[in-house]
Amino acid sequence: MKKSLTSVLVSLAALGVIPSAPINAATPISQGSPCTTEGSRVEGPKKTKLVCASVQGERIWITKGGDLVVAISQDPGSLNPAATTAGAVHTASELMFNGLVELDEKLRPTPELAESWTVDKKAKVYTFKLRRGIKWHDGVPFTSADVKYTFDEVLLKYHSRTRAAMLTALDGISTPDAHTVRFTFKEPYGPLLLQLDVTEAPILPAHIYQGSDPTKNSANLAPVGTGPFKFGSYVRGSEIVLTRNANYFKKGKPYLDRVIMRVIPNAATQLIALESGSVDFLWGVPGPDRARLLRRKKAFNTLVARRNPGGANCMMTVSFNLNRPITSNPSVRRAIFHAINRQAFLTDVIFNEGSVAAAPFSKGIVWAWGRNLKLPEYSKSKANTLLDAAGWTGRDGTTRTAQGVSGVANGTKLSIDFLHFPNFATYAELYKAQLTEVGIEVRLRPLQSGPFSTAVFANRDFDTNIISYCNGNDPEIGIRRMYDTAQIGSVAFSNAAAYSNRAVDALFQQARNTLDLDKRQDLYRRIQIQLVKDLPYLWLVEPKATRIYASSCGGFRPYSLFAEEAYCSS
Amino acid sequence: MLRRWHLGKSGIVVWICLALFAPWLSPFDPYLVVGDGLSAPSWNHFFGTDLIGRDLFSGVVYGARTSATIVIGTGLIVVFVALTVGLVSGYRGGIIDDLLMRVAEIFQVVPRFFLAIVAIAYFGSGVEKLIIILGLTSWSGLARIVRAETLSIRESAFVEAAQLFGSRTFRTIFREILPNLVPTAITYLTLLLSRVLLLEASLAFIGLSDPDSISWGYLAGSSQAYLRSAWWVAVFPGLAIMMAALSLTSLGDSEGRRE
Amino acid sequence: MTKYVLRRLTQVAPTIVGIICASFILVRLAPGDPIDVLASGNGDEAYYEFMRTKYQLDEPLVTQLWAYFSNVLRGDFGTSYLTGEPVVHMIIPRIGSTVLLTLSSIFVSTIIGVMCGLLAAWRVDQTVDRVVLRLSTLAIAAPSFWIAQMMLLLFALRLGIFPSDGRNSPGFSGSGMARTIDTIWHLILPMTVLAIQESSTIARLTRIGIVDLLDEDHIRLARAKGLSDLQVISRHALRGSLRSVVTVIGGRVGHVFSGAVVVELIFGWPGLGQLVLSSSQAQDTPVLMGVLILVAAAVVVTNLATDLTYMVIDPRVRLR
Repeated sequence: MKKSLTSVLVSLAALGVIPSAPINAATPISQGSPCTTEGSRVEGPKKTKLVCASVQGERIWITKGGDLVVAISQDPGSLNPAATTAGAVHTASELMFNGLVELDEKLRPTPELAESWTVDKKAKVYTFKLRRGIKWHDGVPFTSADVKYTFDEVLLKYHSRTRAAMLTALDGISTPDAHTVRFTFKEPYGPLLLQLDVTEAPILPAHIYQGSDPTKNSANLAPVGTGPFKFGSYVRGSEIVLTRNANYFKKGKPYLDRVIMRVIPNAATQLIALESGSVDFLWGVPGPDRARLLRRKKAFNTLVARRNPGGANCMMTVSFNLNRPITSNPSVRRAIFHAINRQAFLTDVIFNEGSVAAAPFSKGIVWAWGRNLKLPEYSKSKANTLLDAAGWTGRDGTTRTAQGVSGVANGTKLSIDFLHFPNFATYAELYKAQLTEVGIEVRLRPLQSGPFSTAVFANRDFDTNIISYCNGNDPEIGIRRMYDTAQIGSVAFSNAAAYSNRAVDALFQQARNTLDLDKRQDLYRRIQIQLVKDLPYLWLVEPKATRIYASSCGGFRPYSLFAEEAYCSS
Repeated sequence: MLRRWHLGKSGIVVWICLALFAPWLSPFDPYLVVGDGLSAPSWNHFFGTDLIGRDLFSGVVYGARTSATIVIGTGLIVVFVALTVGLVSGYRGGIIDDLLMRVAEIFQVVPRFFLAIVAIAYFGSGVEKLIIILGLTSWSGLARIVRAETLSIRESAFVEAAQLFGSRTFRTIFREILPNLVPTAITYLTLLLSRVLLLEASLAFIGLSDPDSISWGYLAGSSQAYLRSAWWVAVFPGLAIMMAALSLTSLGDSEGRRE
Repeated sequence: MTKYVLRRLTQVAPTIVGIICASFILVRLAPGDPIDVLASGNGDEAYYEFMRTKYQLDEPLVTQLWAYFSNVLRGDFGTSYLTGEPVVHMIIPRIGSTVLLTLSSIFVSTIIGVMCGLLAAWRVDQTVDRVVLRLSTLAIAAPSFWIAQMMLLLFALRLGIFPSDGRNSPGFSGSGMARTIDTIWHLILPMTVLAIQESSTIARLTRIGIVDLLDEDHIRLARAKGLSDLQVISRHALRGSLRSVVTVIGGRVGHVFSGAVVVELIFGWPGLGQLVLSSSQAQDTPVLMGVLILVAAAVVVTNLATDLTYMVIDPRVRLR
């Protein structure tokens, strides 16, 4: 249908939109295509109303309103994301809360509940000015008291990463007035701004939780937050309905009317639900099916994410128990490293969704991971040589036995156990298959999370295990706890290997005490060089999740508050 | 009927052969990576390979062993406990009977699957543990049958006659019971054991099976997610289970029928 | 007869008590400390002590058992280790869903199963009988998750007739009749999966029961007298047939519940099965004990009802 340029300009002028550049008369106005003036409305090709809105910095036409149906794999049990790091809880509840600060895709802090902040020269005092006019979902105004309460009574007691990182370093939190919060540290503390997003430090309402046990408060089942969506209903085992917060402090957002989190425990059923149209968004898809779905290009889109509601930059890490005779020998650890073909884990276990770990620190912490550090490469011959030299003799195809190994009686079989969560069973089997080829016998021990933590951290009853250690967005958040001598103990997901090196401890401490990124980078590099020498862990792969969603929806972010700017046409 | 008889017995024979001669019959070590992950059935790998590249045919052959162990182990426990409890209960009667039947009811009442899930959650998975759990929760049905049979034989005329002649009652009952018991017991046992096979598969589906020992249930249950993209990983082990279950049931049908 | 009823009733209590004791001990025997679940890995010694005292975990086993019993009798099943909610609040919303699923499957499969079983027994060893036997054998031998996935793929995806998951449509806010219809629509697929295997088992058991019955002397006599099978069954064998059928149905409740666990998992049906799985993963003992007691009570009551129905139907039952 041809229109003259004039008639197009006239109709656009009639709509109140004056184009800044000549418009091609044939440009279709459809959901997702760019627009110029925010707030203007237009009728789209299918007679649906389209609004020009801001999505991730761009202005595009979207359909306002409607429902988004998201499939989640587990009933969360609680909707309080400050008292736990459990992925299921965070996935279901983060949309109802905010952190002081958000992190954009380059991990730069942007204002959220806090509109501005200042850091003193020594990085010991952080002062945040909170936005005015923010209200909790029940109408009560948000103040600095909420921040103080959440940190003192909830995060520093129950949120494992925030607690591990900040508890000893923090001197106190003060609230000079209702809109100012001041964090004072005992010594210079660099990473604070990276630990204040809604995943690491969501803020809870003090007026609801004060005086109660935050893990058992009934508000955990009907939460009140500041976030883009309010609590609607929670049918146990079935679904959680979140409704639009019309008074959200970011005016105009969110765009959806409702977000419905549907509990579908079985991955295959989630797929069928997506394909049959009853669900719009999946958090992850099993590898072999991904290719099949993406062949239907028009129907589905994907989004790759390194940051998950449970934590960011998670690395599958095998821990060695440094207190056991077999694994305490560095040659044996190095041999195991050589015997493991990590590329096979990438292709067969996570279907190329992610990367092989290239350094002890996750690549996602772009400035801190150790470039060009040589991890032991896959080489069965090197593994065999090392094991022979360490006194473990054996013929081809049989399990090795000890001949002159210190701390081990002659004739003992080279047999180690491997503890894992049941859903990491595939990692376990591949690990076992690969180690069998160099004569190491592996006994698999699948354990649910409770018994796993007890065996690994409380009783230290294991030879090797595998843990998904979420490194976080700063090494201080999720990495330090793996190597710090002070973190050897019964707290779950602390220093599993029981690695203790005073020099490394000092380096971590120094890196935390400065804001200078270059200095920190240098310190962390020195740490990683030492770690690659000592090999207390085997850094396996860094999985990335691919979100898949119906193409009638869009505007998702690959990190926190994923649906703040999302839209769906019915 | 003749056809089914053959199916049942031949199925069991094939199963036992696979179990006994697994090392010779399987082309690869089922635990080792020998090919690309999830490759389709080919001349090299009759049943294709599984997720990480292990030969599925070898897995199924060795799986016969583990599944046979589970089934035989459970069967032995069930028979032993059920016979003991049923005989004593039926023969002695009175309070002992009441007590034993209450105990049987306790074991019968809680659904087996549920108990298995809870037990594995607290005690961990493993073939031996599974056999104990399944055995201990499955004997009550057979015990009742044994007890009923004991009761009816006990009252019957010829036992009284035997008593007149002074023979030891218990031994008599035992000798009289067994032939009558065997057909019903076989029907019951075969049905039970085929359910045990399927139960193990369901446990694996939930992720509660023992990954250290490859069993059919483990192969079929844990690979359900790939049914649509790599059908062989889910279908062949499932077929093995079905054939085994069918053989057991056919055996029960034919042997169990009273003439 | 009243004496028998009373006697059976008083036998129910010890069974349930026995189950509670046995599971309590079983769980306490397990390796691992319930504190790890309670304290969610917070690692603080002081906090551990506090939690231990609060939940009476440091007291001797008998004391704990006694406390638990007295609480249960008052209707207090304790609080979840994980969320601190009363166990009753966690179980009650889900009972309805599981009961709906299991009862509807039992109902449908009883009708189909008994009809097919009767048919097969009536025409024993003929084509109809063979077909029924073959089909039922196949249905029972297939893993239930296979059947569930096939049905999902066929009906929910390919044909798009039934919904793939859940008890109601996403975000459904209707009520009354609209809600009932929506629920029924979601119920059909999971119920069918359960019913396929259940009706096969019921058909087989009914068939064997009737066949054995028809073999009995007085039935043979009636047949020899020239009565048609139908007359024989309705006049002489009815009581015996009913007895077989009742025996069969009575034993199914426990099995159906087991089958429902997998079906609830696959279809995202929000019932007790899901709760059992998630609570056992988390070792949330109070919740598991609560569900266990509930299910056990249901089965015991069904057994009792079966026995009593037995009594009514067949006065030959030996009273000892």
